[in-house]
Amino acid sequence: MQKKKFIIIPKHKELELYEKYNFNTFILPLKDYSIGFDSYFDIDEINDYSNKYTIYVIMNKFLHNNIYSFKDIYNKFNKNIKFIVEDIGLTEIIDKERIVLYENHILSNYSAINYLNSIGYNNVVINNDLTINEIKEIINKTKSNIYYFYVAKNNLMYSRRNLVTNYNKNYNLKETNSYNLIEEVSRKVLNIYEEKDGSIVTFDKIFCASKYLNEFKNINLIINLSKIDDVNEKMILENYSSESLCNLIDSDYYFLENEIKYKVGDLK
Amino acid sequence: MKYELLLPAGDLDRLKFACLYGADAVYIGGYNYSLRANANNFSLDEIDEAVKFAHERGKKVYVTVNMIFHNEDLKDLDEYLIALDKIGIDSYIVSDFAVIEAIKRLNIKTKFFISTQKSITNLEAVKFYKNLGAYRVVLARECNRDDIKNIKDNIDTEVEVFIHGAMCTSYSGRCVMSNYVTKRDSNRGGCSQVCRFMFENDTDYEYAFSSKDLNMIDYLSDMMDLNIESYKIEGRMKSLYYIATVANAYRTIMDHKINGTLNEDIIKYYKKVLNRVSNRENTPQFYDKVPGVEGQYYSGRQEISNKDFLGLILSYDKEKQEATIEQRNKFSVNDIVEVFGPNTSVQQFKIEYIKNEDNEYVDSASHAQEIVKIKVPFDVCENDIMRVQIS
Repeated sequence: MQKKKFIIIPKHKELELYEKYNFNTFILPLKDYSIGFDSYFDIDEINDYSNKYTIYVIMNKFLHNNIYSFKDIYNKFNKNIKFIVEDIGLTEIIDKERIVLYENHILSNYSAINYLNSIGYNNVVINNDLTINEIKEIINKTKSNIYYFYVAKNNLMYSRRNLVTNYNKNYNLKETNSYNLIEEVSRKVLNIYEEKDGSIVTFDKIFCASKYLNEFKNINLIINLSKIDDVNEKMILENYSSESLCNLIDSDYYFLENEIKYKVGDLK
Repeated sequence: MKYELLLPAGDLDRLKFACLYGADAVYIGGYNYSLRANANNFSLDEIDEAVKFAHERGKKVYVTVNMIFHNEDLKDLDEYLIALDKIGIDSYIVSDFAVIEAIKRLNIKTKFFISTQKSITNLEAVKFYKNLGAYRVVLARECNRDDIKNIKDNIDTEVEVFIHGAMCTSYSGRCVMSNYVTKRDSNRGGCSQVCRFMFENDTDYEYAFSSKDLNMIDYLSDMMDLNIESYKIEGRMKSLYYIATVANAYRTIMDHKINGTLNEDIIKYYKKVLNRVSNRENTPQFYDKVPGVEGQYYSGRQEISNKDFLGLILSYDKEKQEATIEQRNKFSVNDIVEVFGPNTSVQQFKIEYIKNEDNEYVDSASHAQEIVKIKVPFDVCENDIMRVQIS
C-alpha cells in the first residue's frame, strides 16, 4: 500500500505552473471524453506531459457509440499513463492495471471495493458524499488504492441534457453556459455548467477535507482546481498540505460531517 | 420472440392489478434496500404472497435490491438475499457491486439484472456485466435507438428498456442534489426530487430543470423490431388506476403489434388514454434525439391531479344488467363513461341510474369509496375499471 499522495487536476494547461508547489502528478481531462473541468487536453499534449510527469487521464462522460472512437486512439497513449474512468464499458478497452474506476456517487462501501479488487480492479475513486467515519472504515477494510476528491467544487449531478441552453432558449436569454442557482427554500447555492454533451451541477462553496487530513492514511488525495477562482486557487496551492486550509478558503465539508438519511421517517 | 411487459407495484393490490391488466412481470421492493424507500413496499411475507399470486398466473416477480449501499447497510444483506431466493423470486435487480459479491459468495442461483442506476449506454458496458454473470441489463434512459440497436445486434444478454414514466434529470444515480439540499439520500431511495424545485438566479426568471415524462407509444413498434426482451414502466409509487391503465394500454398495443393488427387509430386512442392518466406532459425523451427546449419544465412542478378513475367493479348481475361499484371519483346520472378490464375491451355507456347502499335512487355518487349499483348494458367483470369517457 502506498503513502498519502496529492494529485492535482489543473485549472490551466501549463503544468509547469504547478511545479513550484511540489506537484508532479496530474490528472488531465481528455478532450471530448470528460466534462466539468476548466482545461481539456488532447492525446498529443497528454503524451508530451507524460514524459515529464506522472499522468492520469480522466474520462468522466458516459459514452454511447462514441466509445469506439476511443478504442481507435487508446493504443496511441504512452504506456505509463493511467485512466480514471466513469463509463464501465471502458474496462473492456483499457488494460486492467491502468484503470482507476470512478463511479461517481455510487461507490460507497468497502464490500464493493473489495469485490472490484478481487476481479482485478484495485484502483478506485470513492464517493464525495461519504462521512469521515465511512471513509475511515473503507480505508481500514480494503487493500485497494483509494482516490478521494479532497479539495474540489464537487459534482452533485451529471445530466446528458443541455440544461442551460434549454433555459436560455425558453426565455430568449443571451447565450451563456453557466448559472449560480439559489434554491428558494433552503437558500443553498449550486452552480450549473453546460458543455458539449451535457450539464453538471456543483457545490458553490469549495469542498475541503483538510480538517481530517491526518485521517487520510495511504490514499490519493485529488485536488481539482476547476471552477475555482484565482485567489482561492493560490491559497489552495500554498496550503494544501495543511489542516488549516479549510479555514483559509470559502469552504464546506458538508457530507463529511452530515449523516444523510434516506427515509422520510428517519428525519427528525 | 417473447416480448415482456414489465410493470411496477408499490404494494400487493397494485401487483395484482398489474398482473390482471397485462403485465408479464412485475418489479417490487422490500422494506429495505430498494430505491423507493417511501413507497409502501413489501414485507417478506407479502413478497411470498406476491410471488405465489404471480406464478399461479404465469407472471414473474423481480425484486429491486438496487440502492447504493453504505457500510452500515451491509449488515443484514446476506440474510435478505437468502430469504428472497427461498421465496422463489425470478430475479434480483441490483446496482451495487456489494450485492453482486454477496449473490456469488452465497452461491445463489437466482438470476440478477443490472439496474438502470448503473447508466449502461454502450455494448462494452453490457459485456462487462455479462462477464460478472448478469442475466439482463436495464439500459440507461439516455440511450438512443442506435445505442440500443448496437447492443441488441451484438450480444445475447437480455435487454430491458424503460418505455413510460418519470425521468431523472440526471443520468440515473449520478445525482446527490437531494442529499445536499434536503439531507435525503437519492441513491438509498430517499430522493426528494430537487430537480423539480425552484431556483433563483441573476435573470428575471426562476430556474427549474424538471424533466417531462417518458412516453414511447409512438416508437414502441419500432423498439419491438429491435427485439428488445423487456419493456418497463416506471412508477412504484403510482396509483392502482395508473398501473391498470398503463398496463392495459401497452398490453393492447404490444398484442396488436405481435398480431400484425396495429394501426394509427389504436395508437392515437391509447396516446389520449396515457396522456390523461399521466400527471405531467410526456415525450419520447432520448430515443430519437437529445431532449431540447420542449423536453422539460421551467416553472417547477407541473403536476395535474387525475380524477378519471370513477369506480371499481365489484360484481355484475347479468340478469339485471347491474354492476356493483366502489366509487373512486364523483359521477352522476346521464354521464357518459367507459369500462375496461383484463377481459373487457373498452366500451362506453350512459349512466341511467345510481342506487346507493340503501337501494335509494340518487343523482350522483359523491362519497369516497361508497358502494353503489348502476346499470351497465353489457357484461363486465370483477376488477374492471369505470372511468370518464376518453374520446
